Amino acid sequence: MAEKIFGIDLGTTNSAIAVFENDEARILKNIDGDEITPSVVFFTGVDSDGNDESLVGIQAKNSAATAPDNIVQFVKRLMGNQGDAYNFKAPSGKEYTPEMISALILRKVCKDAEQYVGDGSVKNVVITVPAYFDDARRIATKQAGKIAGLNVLRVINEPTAAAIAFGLDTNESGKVLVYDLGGGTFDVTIMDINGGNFDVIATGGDSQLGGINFDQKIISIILRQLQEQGCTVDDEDDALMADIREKAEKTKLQLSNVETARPVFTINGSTYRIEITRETFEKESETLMQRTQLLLEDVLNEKNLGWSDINHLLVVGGSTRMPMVKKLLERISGKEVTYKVDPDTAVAQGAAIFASTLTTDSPDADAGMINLDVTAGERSGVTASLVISDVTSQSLGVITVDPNDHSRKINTVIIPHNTKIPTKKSEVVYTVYDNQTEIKVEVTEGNDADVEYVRVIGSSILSMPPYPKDSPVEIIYAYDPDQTIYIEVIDKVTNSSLGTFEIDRASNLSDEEVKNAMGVVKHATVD
Amino acid sequence: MDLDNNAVLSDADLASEQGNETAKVLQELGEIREELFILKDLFVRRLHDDKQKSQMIHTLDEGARFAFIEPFLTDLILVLDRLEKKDDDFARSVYEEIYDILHRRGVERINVTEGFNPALYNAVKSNDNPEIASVAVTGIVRNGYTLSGRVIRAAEVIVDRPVTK
Repeated sequence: MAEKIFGIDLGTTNSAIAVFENDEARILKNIDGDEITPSVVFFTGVDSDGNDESLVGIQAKNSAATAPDNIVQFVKRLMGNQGDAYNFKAPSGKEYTPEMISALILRKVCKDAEQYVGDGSVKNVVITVPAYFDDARRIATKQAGKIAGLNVLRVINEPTAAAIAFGLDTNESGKVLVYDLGGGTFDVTIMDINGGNFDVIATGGDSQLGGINFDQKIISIILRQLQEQGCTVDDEDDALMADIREKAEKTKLQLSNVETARPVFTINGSTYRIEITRETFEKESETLMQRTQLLLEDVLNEKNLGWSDINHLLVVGGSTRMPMVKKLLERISGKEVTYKVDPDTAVAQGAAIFASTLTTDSPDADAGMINLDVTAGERSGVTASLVISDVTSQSLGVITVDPNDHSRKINTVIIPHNTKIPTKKSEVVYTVYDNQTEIKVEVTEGNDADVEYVRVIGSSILSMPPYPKDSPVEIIYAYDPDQTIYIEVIDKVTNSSLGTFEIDRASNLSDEEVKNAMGVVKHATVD
Repeated sequence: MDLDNNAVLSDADLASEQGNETAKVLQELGEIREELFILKDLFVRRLHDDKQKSQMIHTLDEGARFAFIEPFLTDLILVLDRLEKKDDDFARSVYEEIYDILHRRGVERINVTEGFNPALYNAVKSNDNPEIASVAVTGIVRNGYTLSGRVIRAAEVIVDRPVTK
């Protein structure tokens, strides 16, 4: 019998796991009975063998204040970075990289899921990442899975996963814009969906925009009204602040269903009645909504698309339940917004649906374009192929010299961002001096022509015959679905290869480091 | 061998015929036994499957009930919080009455003890205390509650934590 493959949404603040069985994608709850597990790790101490003991999830969050130095949160933001500055030193003295912390979270999520599907059965997974994750971060995510003892078959974009849930559930087709407004981040993706084929055309996002920003707006309104009623709020009063935060979040949720919410507070024996209308909340939140609108329009403009080119609008993320989101999108797009997919669990469910199309022994499981037959469920009775292609989240270029000013360097883009991958593109450059015998290829990540605003992710110096200046050399970049970059340099005078190299992924762990990390994480207890 | 109407089988022939009959019966018995084993195995597996499904349905049902009632309970708990803040007999009596109604339906106030339990408590504030060796709860900011053993809201507590050198 084929082994099951699970879909995991490894989030910045929360994670979830799902499996596709009996024709539906089912979220597997954790041992606390919750569908989401906070992506938080707390190191409680060291066992008698010197191995770290840790809590992951809500109990880790609950313990944060008992030892703030032992808590790790939002590690997703650090993925793909290397160096002491990004590592966490646990009570045992061992250093944990962001990949290792993520591995502990993955272990917890999978271990809890095994209460439903059997011990040791959660081994093969598909993990989702934000669409704007670059090469280093995607590889880091895959390495986190490996460190956790998992077999990561694919890393796919979160909006892609959500759109898969949408596509399989309804069998629709056309251009889809995925608007994903979560707890802390905002993503926009445009895709082509057609009878099981998924083509990502463009992505964009803001990693600092989400539901918590809207909660803060409600808190501001509450504090203002309390002040107007003569109440002085002591922000050192933990109970009061907890009460305000909790009621602010509840008020936000209530205003999705009713026009007015009336939270009440008792402070120092006095009662204060607050009234917040949906209109007031929406007015306070205007700048936040404008931010999402600008990002949306940027992504559309980049691909010379207008709203008339978009056939379907998919909203994902709990924050999209706010009526102001539906209002904005319907106003600017002229399209109806419907909630066809559960916004909170769509990503994990879509990952599970995609995972169900893979097999652990398929030679194509790791290929760029996957053509696999999948039965799209009894509901449709159609056998469809799931083909996912992706786009580069960052432009890739090379540092060249300004022909008019050799002292000035410029970044020349070879593969623009949002190019479908796998892809192969090249740029012909020219030698600068007579008898130049070396060419330095510095591979960059970023859109800007100014080298100050791009990141060098790898370089190599290749020898070449001594030609006169202005001799042509072709630099070819090939980019595969896991976003590994292969570079070849061709001497265009003789049309022969001067050499090849892969990106030296200094921002990812080496194989040796991954192996060592597996040993450390394996012996750490996770509760 | 040709037999006339009155011919009888010799002992050897009879034995041979009886042997064949027995073998046939034994073979049929064997087949029936095999079929029985298969059916028994199927029955046991189906029973196990039914048991699993029954457990899953029970879990899903509980989960669904909890998901339905939890938002209502968290709202009511916020009302209890406000009642607790009022130091008069009427507020106290209303608190007790509402709590009693909830208690009869499986809601329990979390009992907070000195030892910190992250499964039931949420440390919202901490103070350094060089005189202790492990984390100790020193106060309650907001009470916590469970429903049939599942945490609706963890007890929000203040802790003293040991000073690490």
